[in-house]
Amino acid sequence: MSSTQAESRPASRPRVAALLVVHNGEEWLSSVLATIAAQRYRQLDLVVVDNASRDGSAELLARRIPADRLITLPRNVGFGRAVAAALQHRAVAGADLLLLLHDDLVLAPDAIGRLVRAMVTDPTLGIVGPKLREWSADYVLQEVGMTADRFGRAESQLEPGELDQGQHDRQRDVLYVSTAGMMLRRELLRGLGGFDARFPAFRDDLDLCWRAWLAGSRVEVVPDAVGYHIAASSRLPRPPLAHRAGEARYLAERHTTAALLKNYSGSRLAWVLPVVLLLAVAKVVGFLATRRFADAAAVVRAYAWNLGQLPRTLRRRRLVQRRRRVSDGELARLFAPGLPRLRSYADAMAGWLAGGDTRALIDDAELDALDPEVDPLADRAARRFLRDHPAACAGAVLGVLYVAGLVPLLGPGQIVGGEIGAWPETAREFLRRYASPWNGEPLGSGSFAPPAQALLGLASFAGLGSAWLAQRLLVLGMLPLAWMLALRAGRLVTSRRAPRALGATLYALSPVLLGALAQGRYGILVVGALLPGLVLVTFRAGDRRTAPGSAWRAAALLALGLAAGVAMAPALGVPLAGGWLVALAVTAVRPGEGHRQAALRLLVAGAGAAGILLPWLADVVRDGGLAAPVTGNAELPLWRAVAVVPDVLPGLSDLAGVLAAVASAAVVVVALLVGMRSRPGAVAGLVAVVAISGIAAWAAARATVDWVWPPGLLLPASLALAVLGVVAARWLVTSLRAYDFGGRQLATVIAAVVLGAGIVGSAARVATGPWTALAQAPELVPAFVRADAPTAGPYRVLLLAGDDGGVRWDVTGAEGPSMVDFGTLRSADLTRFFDEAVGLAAGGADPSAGARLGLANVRYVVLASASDELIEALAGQPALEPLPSSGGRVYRVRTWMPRAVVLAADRGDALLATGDPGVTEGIEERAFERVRPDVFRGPGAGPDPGVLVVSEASSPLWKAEVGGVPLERLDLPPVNAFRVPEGAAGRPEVRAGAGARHRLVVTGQVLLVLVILSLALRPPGFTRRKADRHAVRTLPSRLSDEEPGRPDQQPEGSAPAEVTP
Amino acid sequence: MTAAGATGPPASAGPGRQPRPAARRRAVALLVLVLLAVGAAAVVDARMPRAATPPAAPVEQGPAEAGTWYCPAVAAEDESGMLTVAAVGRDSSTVTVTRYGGEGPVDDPALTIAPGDAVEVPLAAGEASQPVSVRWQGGPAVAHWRIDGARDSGAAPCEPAPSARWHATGFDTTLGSSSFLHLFNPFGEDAVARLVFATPDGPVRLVIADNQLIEAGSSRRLDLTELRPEETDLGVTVEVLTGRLVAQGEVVFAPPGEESGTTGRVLLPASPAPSLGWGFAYARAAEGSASWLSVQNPGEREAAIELRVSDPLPDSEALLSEVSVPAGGTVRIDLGATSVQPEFGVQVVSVNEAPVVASLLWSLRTGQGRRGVAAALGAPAPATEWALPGAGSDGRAGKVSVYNPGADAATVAVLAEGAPPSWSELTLPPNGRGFVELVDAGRGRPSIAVRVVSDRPVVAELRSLSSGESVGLWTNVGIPALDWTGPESRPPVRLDPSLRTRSVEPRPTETVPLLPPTVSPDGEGVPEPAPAATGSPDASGTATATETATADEATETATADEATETATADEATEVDAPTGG
Repeated sequence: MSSTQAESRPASRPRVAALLVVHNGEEWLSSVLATIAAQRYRQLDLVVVDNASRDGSAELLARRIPADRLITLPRNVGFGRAVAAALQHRAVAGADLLLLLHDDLVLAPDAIGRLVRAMVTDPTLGIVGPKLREWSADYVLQEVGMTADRFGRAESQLEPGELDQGQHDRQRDVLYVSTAGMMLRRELLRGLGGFDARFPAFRDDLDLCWRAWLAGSRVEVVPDAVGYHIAASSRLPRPPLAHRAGEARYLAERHTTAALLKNYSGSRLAWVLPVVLLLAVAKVVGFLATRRFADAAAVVRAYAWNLGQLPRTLRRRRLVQRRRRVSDGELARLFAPGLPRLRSYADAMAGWLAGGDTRALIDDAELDALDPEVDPLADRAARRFLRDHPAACAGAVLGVLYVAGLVPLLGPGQIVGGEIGAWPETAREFLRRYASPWNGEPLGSGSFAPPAQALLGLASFAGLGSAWLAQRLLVLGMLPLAWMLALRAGRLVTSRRAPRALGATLYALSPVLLGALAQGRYGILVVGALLPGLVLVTFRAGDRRTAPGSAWRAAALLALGLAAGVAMAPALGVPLAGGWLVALAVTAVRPGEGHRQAALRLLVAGAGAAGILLPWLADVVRDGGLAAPVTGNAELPLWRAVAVVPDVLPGLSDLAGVLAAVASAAVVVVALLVGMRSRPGAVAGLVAVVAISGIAAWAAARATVDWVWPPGLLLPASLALAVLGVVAARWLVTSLRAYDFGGRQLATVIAAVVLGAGIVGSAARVATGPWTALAQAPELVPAFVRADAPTAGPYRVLLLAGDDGGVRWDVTGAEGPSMVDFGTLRSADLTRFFDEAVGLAAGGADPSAGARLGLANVRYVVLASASDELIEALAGQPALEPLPSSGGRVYRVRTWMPRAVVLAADRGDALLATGDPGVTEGIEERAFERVRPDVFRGPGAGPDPGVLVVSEASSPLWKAEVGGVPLERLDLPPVNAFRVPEGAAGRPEVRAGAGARHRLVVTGQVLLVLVILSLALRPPGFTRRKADRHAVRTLPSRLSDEEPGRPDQQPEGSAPAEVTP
Repeated sequence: MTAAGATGPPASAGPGRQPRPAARRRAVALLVLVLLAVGAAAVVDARMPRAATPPAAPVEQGPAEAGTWYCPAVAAEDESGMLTVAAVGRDSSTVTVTRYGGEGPVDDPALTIAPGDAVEVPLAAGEASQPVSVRWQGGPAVAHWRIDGARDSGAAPCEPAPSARWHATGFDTTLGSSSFLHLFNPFGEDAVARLVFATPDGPVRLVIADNQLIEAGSSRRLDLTELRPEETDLGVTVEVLTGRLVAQGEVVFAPPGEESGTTGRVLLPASPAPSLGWGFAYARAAEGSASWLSVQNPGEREAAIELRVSDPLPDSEALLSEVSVPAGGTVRIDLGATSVQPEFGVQVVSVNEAPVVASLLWSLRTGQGRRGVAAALGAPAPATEWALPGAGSDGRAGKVSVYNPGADAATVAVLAEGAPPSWSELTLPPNGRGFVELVDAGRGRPSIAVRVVSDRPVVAELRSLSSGESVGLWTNVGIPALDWTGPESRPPVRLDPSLRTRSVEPRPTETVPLLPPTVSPDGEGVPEPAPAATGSPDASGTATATETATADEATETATADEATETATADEATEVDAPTGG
């Protein structure tokens, strides 16, 4: 067609040149050509560019396309350059409009006509595109125009698998349309300079359309025009993308960045670019964490490419900005609001948390959904909401009551009580302590740091730098977490929400869990919160029917959960390990395909947990240095244990405790009544768990095992009782309906009433704040005891309490109890030393016992409570000076020695001979500075000869040197001492010498955790996008059945294309 | 019969499938096993009730290897003194005497004392005005402090430990007599103490007696005559508010009339705690001498006490009825006409569980007109081993008395270098008393280390009477072995991690400011005096000394005069054979 002919054409029937770019599309090329031939728009020319296909596409094209309409390129130059080559064709030169086509797109017969009509109707349009559906799923939308967030992430704004119900059938401006089916004015393309030749694929459409917008043209999606697209380049391994892993990501990433650099104004780029770079770093980290190394490398390569191409990019940028007609602000409406990626992350997280992918082992029928047409509550919004969202309603009520009970603990200041100490100022302090080869506080040793420190450190980042918030979240958030995990774990029983909400409520309100919080038994509390999740992932990992990806993810989570549980509450390690062993044994011995793989997953989970805990466990076994847990409440009668109602909360010791036990019995009775006929095995097993757990706790209480809090062993029973509640609630109505009214119904009603009363009573108890041991910022020691810390350096405070049971002691750092001490293995030597020194001082037989406390860096002794005998005994200790105190009786240790200091030779020798440091007034001035927990540095250079004393637990790890010359080690148990010789020159320094080995172990541990995390994030068998190769050779069914466009929609003069098939 | 009958609930009742009968049987079997397990546990629980967790047993500990004695009483500048240190163990003892003068504590060169020996450290005039402490290491040692004045001596064992409270009774501030309280703070921090007085009428609290500051490393001699004048049978409780103190009392009896009344000086040991019983091995009620008890009740309820003596007079009124001691007050009990023997042992027992403190005073008047007085704090508990430091036979008549307050006969041995064999086999019947004269161990010995051991708990006491111009009279109940060995056991000790987050319990005593409370002119802020108190502070916070003697006081004065009986020199120096009661 000549240009003269074009000029004489009516404006409503512009000539269209369709440019079909083919590359290895033989599989679906026939269908594509057929649909082009079926187009009803007559003013259509077709030019095909074969981009060096190797799969038979060339032969097919040779047979179907006239030679003068076929351009064969010797190599694949990419889409943009192929279009540029086609633009040279004479058939294109006379076209008004260009239609760019991919070789995996078929268009409805009226599609081109509808696109042309849009262009004719609105001259301001520069580019239009059709609505794209999935090739293999006719009604599923693939694209209705595209947008991006401000940082270039492409966003279709469609839900995954969203059906086309006409909801997007509105012609509207979009940021860009895909080049698959893109129609644009030939003059516009020429004016824009064509595609960026450096973009062989991906985001060339974004770049072109963005430039069109900047140049004053508009881009629209025309939903009336429909295409069916495979998106083979991104979904199927087609060369060259198949040749290199991560190539698609590489191209997308590099072209997106280049487009941003070219098209944003300077002011916008100034803040967008740093964010983009940060996101890139996060992406790289995420890819590495999920073992997607090729993707990580692709991101790095993309930025490297942009760096290398920066001059050329800037040249293109100058051209673009010179042609700019529209500001960034005017285009802001085209960009996705906020961060779409956050939404996708949130969606993924919500899906995971809701547990929709969990198969109910007992009741897998989705029965909640009701036919909306017969909904009896259709006009009762409140009741309908209550019925449809029972979990949300129950959670809201419980949350309000819980917060009401927490009011006294929500003010400023840290919560302290039981095992809970003050949170450090920053979460890094936990990790710093964990990474240190020396645990200095309160009686630390060179033992491996407890993994609980790392766990708390990582979790404390949730506090966003606020110790207050971190503590509230990680302490007070445990009960809500337990409720949510129990709700999610309830999916193992039933998919119905109401029974699950009841079970979660029963668990969260169980006396054991509430008692753990009330008494500040933090480790038990954390394990209690995690337990439902652990059970859930154990079942998922051990179930052969779980999808491989989910099963491995569950195994990884089980490994992390087991490690966290044992780390937080070592005493519960036995039942946790026992549960894991039972699951492993049951899975391994079951016949049938898949059980072996399931057992392997459980084995890997256990091994992973053991691997994480191994260094610490080895030290625990070697040193036996676990601090005894907070003692007390060892009394646990059998009836309380079996009824899971330990006396651990205010009010449970009297009638309320009996009523709570009756409520527990009611749960069991109802579950037996309604469950034994339909699910006898599960119900009997759960009852057995309650009984075994109760008997174990009762036995532990009788045996008076001092490192176990017997009620803590009732956690499995609490969970089993909650599951029985789920079972009862799930089948209560349907089961009772199967019988005539009788004793069964009567008993059930009575039990249900009792249970309801129990729940109400427990909820009321929560609202009253029964947190007996917790206090907000209590005065643990007088302020002046803490006030010396800035000048005196680190020191210890000995706490004493005396009563008829003897004398009890503990040691804290100068700042009082801190959570960075949580779980620290205590030095056995120092513990023995304190046992002996306190015993001698309290025994009144050795007036020098108090003086020896100074050697262990004890600066103050505080009587938490004391008998007259103890006070009298301490009065006989000349080294303990009683001080005026408003809080209690406080003594200053006159023989206090800094954590590291050099004593003069005579004093040092006397100390070595007697163990008595003597009065040490003014010794603070010579104290070493603590650089790190494992490093001390002396004041000035050239210390006087004497004895360097390091009041850390005696260990060969400690090395001292002056000016690089190591010092001779002396024997001064239970601390460390070194001889400073005459003439020593240089600044003295002391350090725990196992840093490299310790850091190596920590690094290995971190790597192992990363591997497990990676397994959880991207487990084996997990694929985000699955190749969909079926039925690509055939036309989409909708297309074959497509009704011809309605007459009123058919552009006038539409006619079959002038294509020779 | 149910609608579903034997076929069970319809499919809608369950999740869609019916359990197999075998599965149901297994479930029932499991439930039966569970029931059996719970039942077995219940049987075990019922048949083998959990024994109450026994309290952790005290931990045995060996004798102390070091200790310190504190000697608070100081002499006037012109008086001399004598510090006696005796090694009472099997090992030699290394002893360091520290003197607390104006320039801080100064250590004397260390002394090594062989087992069974005693060393006297004479303190010349001026030196005796400094309190001392005696540190020992190795074998145990005991210390004894004596002040030698122009007319009389005062002596007392040193104290083994400071205490938060001290109780002393037997003071007298009536006209001519002076009472002092020595408060010794040998430690590094200042101490603040409050005095509470006990009178026959009850407790008396004075603002000016509050917040007595005793600086670190010093001793303070408080003149009770200024604080509480014209009071006889005065008791004092020292409440240590901050810091630590060792307390001891001193009374100088000097009646206005030269020839009548109790005359002399005593050191009154203080007790760190009241007790339900007190024992004395030496009291004398004969011509020329009189003995009386001063009993203080520092508690808050009235104490009922009984008196027991060795060889009692059957019709003694003092022994037939209980004596009431008012809460916070004192009482004086005359020991005349209680025993058939002129010298006897005394036991004070509280019969209503209200602990008291008891001192025994004994006055002497010889035929030559020599007069003296002695006082001793009782032993709160009898013991099987005693040390009696300060004994000698160089111009002194020393007598070791032993009283067996128990219900079984006791065999007693008095150990001293040069002691005759008869000293090692004294047999004391129940409620019996015996004694030995130190002169039998050799005349002219300035220092004799004496220990008393027995197979039953007894009370041992040393009486010393100078034969020179000065009467030099004093008595001291011995030092029980517990004071130098320390307790045989100590409380069990264990690590308790819950302490770290437990709030410190407030002190049982009130918080006391370091400065005296401000007293407003209208008297606000001044503690209410006890109902029976006879003195009250004036508006400036100073106690008035204008009380008039009551009829009771007059009666007591008369009683004291009556007790000033004449005693012959022979009686004073007689050497009785052991009587065994």
